[in-house]
Amino acid sequence: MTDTRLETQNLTKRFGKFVAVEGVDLQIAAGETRALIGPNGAGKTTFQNLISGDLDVSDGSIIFEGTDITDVPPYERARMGMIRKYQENHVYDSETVIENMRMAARGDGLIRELIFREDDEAMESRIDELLGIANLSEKRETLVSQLSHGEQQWLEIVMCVLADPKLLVLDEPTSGMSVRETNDTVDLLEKIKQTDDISLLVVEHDMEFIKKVSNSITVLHRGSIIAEGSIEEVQDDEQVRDVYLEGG
Amino acid sequence: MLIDPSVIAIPLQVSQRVLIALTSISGLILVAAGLSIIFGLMGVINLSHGALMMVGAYMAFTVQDAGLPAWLGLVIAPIAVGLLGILIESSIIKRLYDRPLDTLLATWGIAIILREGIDLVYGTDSKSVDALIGGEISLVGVTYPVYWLFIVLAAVTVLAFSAGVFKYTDIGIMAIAVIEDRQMAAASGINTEWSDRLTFAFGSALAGLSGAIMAPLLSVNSNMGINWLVNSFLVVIVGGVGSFVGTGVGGILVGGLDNLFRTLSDFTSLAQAVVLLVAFVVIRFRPNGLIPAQKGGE
Amino acid sequence: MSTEAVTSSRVERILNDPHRAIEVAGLLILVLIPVLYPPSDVQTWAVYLLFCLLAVSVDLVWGYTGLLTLGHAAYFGAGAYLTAKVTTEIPAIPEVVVVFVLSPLLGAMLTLVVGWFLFSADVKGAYFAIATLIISVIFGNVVQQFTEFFGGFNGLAGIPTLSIGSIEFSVMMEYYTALVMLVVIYAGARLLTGSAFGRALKGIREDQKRTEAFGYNTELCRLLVFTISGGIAGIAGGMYATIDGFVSPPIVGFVLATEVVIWVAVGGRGTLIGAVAGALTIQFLESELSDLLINFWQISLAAVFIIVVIWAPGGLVGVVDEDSRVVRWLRTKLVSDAGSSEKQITEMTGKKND
Repeated sequence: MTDTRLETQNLTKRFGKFVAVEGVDLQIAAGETRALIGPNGAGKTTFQNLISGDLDVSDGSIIFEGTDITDVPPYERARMGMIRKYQENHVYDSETVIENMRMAARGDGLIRELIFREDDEAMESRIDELLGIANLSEKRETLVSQLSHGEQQWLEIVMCVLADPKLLVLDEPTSGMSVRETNDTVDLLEKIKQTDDISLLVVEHDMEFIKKVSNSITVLHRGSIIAEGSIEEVQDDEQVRDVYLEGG
Repeated sequence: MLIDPSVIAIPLQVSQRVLIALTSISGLILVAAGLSIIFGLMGVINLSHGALMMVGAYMAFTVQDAGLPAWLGLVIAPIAVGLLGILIESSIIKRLYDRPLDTLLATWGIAIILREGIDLVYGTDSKSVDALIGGEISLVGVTYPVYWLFIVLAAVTVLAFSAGVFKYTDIGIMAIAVIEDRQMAAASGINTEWSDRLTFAFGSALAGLSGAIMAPLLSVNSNMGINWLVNSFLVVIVGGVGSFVGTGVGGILVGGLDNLFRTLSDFTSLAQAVVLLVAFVVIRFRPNGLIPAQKGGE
Repeated sequence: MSTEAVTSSRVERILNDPHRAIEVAGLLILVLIPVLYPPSDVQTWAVYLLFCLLAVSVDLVWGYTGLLTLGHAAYFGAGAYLTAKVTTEIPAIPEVVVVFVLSPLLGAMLTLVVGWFLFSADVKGAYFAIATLIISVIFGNVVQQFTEFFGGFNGLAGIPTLSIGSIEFSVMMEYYTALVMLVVIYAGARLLTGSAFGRALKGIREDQKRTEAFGYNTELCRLLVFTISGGIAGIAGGMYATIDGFVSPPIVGFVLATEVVIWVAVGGRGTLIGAVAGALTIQFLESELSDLLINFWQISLAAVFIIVVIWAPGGLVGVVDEDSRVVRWLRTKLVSDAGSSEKQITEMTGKKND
């Protein structure tokens, strides 16, 4: 039996009278790559914010590897292995690529360890390895602001991987990318998935990309799950087709 | 703050205290009105607000010094400081709209320049300005300078006028449109650059006018604006950012608290400290911070 | 840090790490001050050093962590007033204890309270700045209000100088004590900012949410750096009291608090050396100017400040950053011929015969 890495139970978020996310029950297993799709305004961003702790839940609970994290602050969730890549590029603009990586190397301790940490060969080689799979090895000393949009996306992804995720949440990782860059992202994710039983939650619009990286999809519409399953199952689902034909 | 109850030699009665508080509150509202526009509406953290007020006071002094009628001072002050506002906005403020911390710092630098400039031109001694309307009036059995009534009237008028400008005039409505949705406004053909400039100038002009009006009650020197700067921010933050009613409410809260504390105790310096503490707590407890809508979206 | 060809050219070494060069040169000059100046001036220089310490404390919080603190004079003044009161009224406690233990403790406690109050609600940016400004105005008001206890406008005088046993510190000793404190704390700050913790601070400054999302407890980090800086400000204030012998409201209020920010900004925030250089340079220049020029000086300084804020956040030391245009130009002029590293090696080994 596979372990459930992430489980939400009746997850609900209200903003006044507006219900952004309603009664979402979702499970992601260890090693699974789940895609989350839905038209704009379906609640995908709100859902991610609830998972990462950027928003408080109105109802329901979030369970990560068996632990209830509903009231756990964001930084602690990250330390437990829930790492999120935000939609707009959130890399450290005025720093170099290598410095960005080092800044993402959180380490184990909270304060004391940070102050007294010695230079770590293991960490450096891990950084080199990750820069390699992101094809950024040659741009170590480049200022991030001089990278292309796609390169910044990849950098942020491997920065997230450096933080040792058990669940990596990717918010529209291929937005603004060319076809070629999108394919490179597929390769990148493939290499990342070779890490033992890392789970991925990929929020995306690009169906081709989704087909290549994930094995299961959850479809969100107006805050609720309307379909879930393998890609074929979901694509055949009538409700899904209606929603997308509506022009959502 | 403004009017020290101990200034009145005769024993104070409740009605007198109320009148003093009313005048003091009106003064606060009058001075804060300009900041309500620049900080409350535009989201510009303008630390030169007190200095602009001070320049207005000096304009009133200059008019008096030149032997011209006092009412002219009330005309020249807003015009002069309004023009100063245009200069400031077009050289400095416009570059910093998406950088609130830098705006804070740069406007502090402007305040220093204004203060030192005034010292250079006028000398560092304190000046005094005569009131436009002299004499006293008897109200509810208490003798009360007529000018204080003028201040109350001015505060109400300025507040109502400002609210009216932004609600009922074309130019005011456009200014709001620019602040709320820059892109849409630009697409509709509004010159957003000049809208910002004029809005800032309007706020500056009000600051200058308030300085000219308040000058007869204060010791006019280059540092006079600092207290008013702090209090104006308190009024706008506590009362509610972005609304003129809020400025009125803020003035009443801040002024009322201050006056209350002064009359209840001997600790007049602490009066401001208490109000500041209230503001400090307000800053902390407003959810999602008190950041007003920044220009260009958040 | 990128390095060019290994070379013994001193000029090139300096140009590769100008900040280190400034640190060394600065330290040398500061060590020699008592030799160059008469004792009365030396005391003034000692006070400059303490304000440099205050600038360092502000740089840690603002330059490195991105939290504009407009009220740091409050913690400096608290240390100063504490020292003033305790040394004059409780002589049983040795001055050295008051200055080196109690003052930083008070400074740290105050920043701990203020910091906890503000960071627990994630107050940052402009509102953090305004809130901290309010703190220093409150402190100023309190000090002015309780005239009996704090001396009101006239302040408190007659603060004894430091002494060990029965030996009272001479002005020279005071000066070198202040210098040692500055060097030690500066070195500590360097180590702190160069560590992984320093990276966390940088991350908080540049993108707090992202840094938090990597798993950093940014609230704790902010609280720690704020508290440390409060302790530094406190100890600087404590020393100030014993050296100057006199404390008064201006050292608690917003005037000093905003002045420090100007020193740090103009010197170059986020570099530590910029804070010290800015504080030292501005104070020194100010003292050299006659009263007549003071107005022009203030206006010029404010203008430079505005220019720095809008266009040149790196400040003065930013002009001599290893990557700055000035330094790069100097490199082409002063360091052999512009060319490949290999060419430079050959030239060097060809010229040198050791």
